[in-house]
Amino acid sequence: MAVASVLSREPGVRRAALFMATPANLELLRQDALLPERPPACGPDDLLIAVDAEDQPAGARAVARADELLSPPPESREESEATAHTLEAAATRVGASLAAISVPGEYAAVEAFAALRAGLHVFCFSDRVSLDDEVALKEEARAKGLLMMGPDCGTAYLHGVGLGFYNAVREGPIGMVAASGTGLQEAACLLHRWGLGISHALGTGGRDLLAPVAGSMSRRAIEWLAADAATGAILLLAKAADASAATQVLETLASQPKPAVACLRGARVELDGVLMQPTIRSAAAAAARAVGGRPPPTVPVEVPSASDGEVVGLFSGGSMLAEAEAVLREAGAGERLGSFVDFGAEAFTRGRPHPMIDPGPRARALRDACQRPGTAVLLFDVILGFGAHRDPAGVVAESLAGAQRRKEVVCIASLCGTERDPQDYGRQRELLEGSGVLVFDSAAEAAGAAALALRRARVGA
Amino acid sequence: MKPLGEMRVVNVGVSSFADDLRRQGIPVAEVEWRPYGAGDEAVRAAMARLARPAAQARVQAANAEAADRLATGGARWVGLRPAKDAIPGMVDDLILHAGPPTDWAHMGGPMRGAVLGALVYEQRAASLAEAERLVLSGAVRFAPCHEHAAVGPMAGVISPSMPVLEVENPAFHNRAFSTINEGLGKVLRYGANDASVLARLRWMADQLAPALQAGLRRSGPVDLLAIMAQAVQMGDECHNRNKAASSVFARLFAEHLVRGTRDRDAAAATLEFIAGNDHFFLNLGMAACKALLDPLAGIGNASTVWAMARNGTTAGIRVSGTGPRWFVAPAPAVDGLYFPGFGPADASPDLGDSAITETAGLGGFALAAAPAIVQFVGGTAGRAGELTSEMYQVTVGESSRFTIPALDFRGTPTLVDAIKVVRASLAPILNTGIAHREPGVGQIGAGLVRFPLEPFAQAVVALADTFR
Repeated sequence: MAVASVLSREPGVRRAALFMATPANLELLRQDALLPERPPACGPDDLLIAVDAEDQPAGARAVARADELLSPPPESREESEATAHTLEAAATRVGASLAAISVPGEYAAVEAFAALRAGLHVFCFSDRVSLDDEVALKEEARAKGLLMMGPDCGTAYLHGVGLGFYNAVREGPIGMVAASGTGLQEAACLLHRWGLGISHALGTGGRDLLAPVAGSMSRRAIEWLAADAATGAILLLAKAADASAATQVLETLASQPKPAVACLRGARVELDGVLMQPTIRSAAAAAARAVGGRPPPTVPVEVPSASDGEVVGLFSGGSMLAEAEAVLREAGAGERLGSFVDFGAEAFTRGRPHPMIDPGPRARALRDACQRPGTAVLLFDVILGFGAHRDPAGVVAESLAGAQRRKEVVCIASLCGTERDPQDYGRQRELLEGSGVLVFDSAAEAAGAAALALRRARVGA
Repeated sequence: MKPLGEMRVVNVGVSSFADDLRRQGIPVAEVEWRPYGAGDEAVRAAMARLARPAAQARVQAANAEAADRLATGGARWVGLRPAKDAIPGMVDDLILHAGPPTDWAHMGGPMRGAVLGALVYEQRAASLAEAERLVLSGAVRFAPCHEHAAVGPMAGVISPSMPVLEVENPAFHNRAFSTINEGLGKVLRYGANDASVLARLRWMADQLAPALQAGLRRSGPVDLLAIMAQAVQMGDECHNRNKAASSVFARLFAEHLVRGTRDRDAAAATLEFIAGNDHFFLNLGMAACKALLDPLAGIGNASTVWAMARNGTTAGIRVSGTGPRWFVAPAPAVDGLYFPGFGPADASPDLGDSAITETAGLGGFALAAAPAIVQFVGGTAGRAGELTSEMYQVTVGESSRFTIPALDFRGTPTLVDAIKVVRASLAPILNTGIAHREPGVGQIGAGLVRFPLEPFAQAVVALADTFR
């Protein structure tokens, strides 16, 4: 009777009754005109749910609601005294809808398969998962209608909640699909700084566009965002590792109705319905305009001339490095490229903390590079946000302060962060500028400034 | 695409991700995670192979079959005969013992004492010294009780002329066997073997067994599971505490005993014996568990554990998907409370087939139902609840027949899954007695012991091999 009472208050429902289908009750229902002309076959042991609704969908919804009320989900048992030693036990305890996995990579697939089996979406920060396992995980996720973000997914946002390494940004209409965590972070911060925001940002992991994976998660993410009411435009950031995978992903992007922008590094594809952009910054700007935003144009900056010598790039984010290299080559500075290192790359993180967590080694490398006679320009990134070190700019500033040849090297950095991040954005920027570093909001702009510095060689140097 | 709904997260790995989620107001549960098999590469690779959906589907289906067999089984006490007549493969030169396979060289004090006593009891030797010479001459063969459908507590020695309880599982028509429990103090199962021990054994064969047989003829098969289910509701866990089961049995059987023997003295002596032994029911319960579990022996692809046993030197398990094979590791020391005058240095490593009770979802897996024994082993009711709750994480499911009042009548965690054990790095908890390491001294304490993890890891590697 309690259930019937709830049902009768559902939208579109005129009356509802729940009865055991005994002959006496059936007769009562018939008298009340609640029994259809051809009642379903049922006996006295069956519970009959009778709904008189304005239309079929309202009636169907009411019956579904009755099902829910009659069979409540198993309450997470109060085993709160016992520690959860498995993902399943913890998931039951909290009624989980998503699993965040960051165990060592060689174990991550087992946990991710278990999470999918338990019906959870997955955020998999772990890298060094086998490609075979990644393919199988994404297939399994697709079959079950679940998100498989990763392996090697550093950042994601779902309904305004940040996962992994993320910056505090406002919610808004732009949905992102990204293969790179740091690329996603930069775009998110730019959008925030331009007064806009993100609906969701789904990470796919760095290998999603390799041939065996075939862009599986990217396509799922695009479909998800296309169906999401809060998303007004879709922004894709990835590397076109395999042409066929890239094409399939772009086709998915093009065939959905919302405005779509893509920065697909290495892609030589054009597709009607997708706006292709060469850098993360330009793609973010295009996405902003697609939802009525007005991103500021890149402003020409006073850049000192560099001496003879190379530009050395030392990055904590792989996409920052790729972006910088691409911009420099495009600007004709290819011959002046010196050593470009991604400190976040696998070789460096085997057994060591990520440079965003421990900025020490990269900061020391900045000092060493500065002191090398061949270095004309030092180009790097500083990434703020949750998960990152509490004072990355301070560590860099301290390291550069002690560097020989400091005055002969042009130091340029992109600072990725917002005023809502825990590191005090203003103070971080001050520390860098106080060390004589030219600070920009994006890797592309920083690289552009580096190219300019290289072009304006000192006379007689 | 399944909606995300209200986001609630399980975090496995770096804690800071969980902290950041909580800070954003998201409910998070964390996992106490450890690398499987303590980081062993073969174990990791095996777990990875078994984790793939196709392999998982086969494992789940096979485990469901195992759980089904366990749930549909029954256990009825149907007979009482000498071992050589009842136990398949029991022959004159064979001595059965508890735990995985072992030999004289590797047996500890209690088991050696029991073996020698049994040989004198069988009149294969006139003295213990002669019995030892007999063993060293190679004239005595040993085999695990388990490999003959039998189970024995502590040393678990069964010799050909000992009377054994016969328990039948009507669903699969298999039988399991155990000796009659001798009582407490100086008993064969603790390695005591002097004249008083042997005299008692003879009395049990000559007087006690016939009386029990007479009672059984009159009562017909006795439903043991019904007694055990009641006992669990009455504060027993059927391994270390059997007082309720023994009482229920006595109450049920007394009339049949009296009317069946038609001999007042025989009936009285039998009832006196039962009343004086709080663990009388243990052996019946163990045989019942063995009868329930033996049908789970050969289920391909199943990771379910159908035997756990210790012999004082090694502790071993058997897994449904790898058949009769034993996976062993050194038997652990029991962490417990000692009787006055004894301590850990005096203790024998863990010993006995009574872990068959945990294998069936009783004993340590039903601790939350037995507050009295928890106190006895030095725990608290809260800790008992925790330990029982942990076991739900390593079993296939819950018992349909043994329920725990204190957990809202939830079924006990039942049917250990070797893959889950390795995944959780959490081994089954046993609740057991502690024997003195020297033969003949007897029980010196009781406590809780974790089965070693290595046998489960080895079993998972072997199981994964069958998936190649």
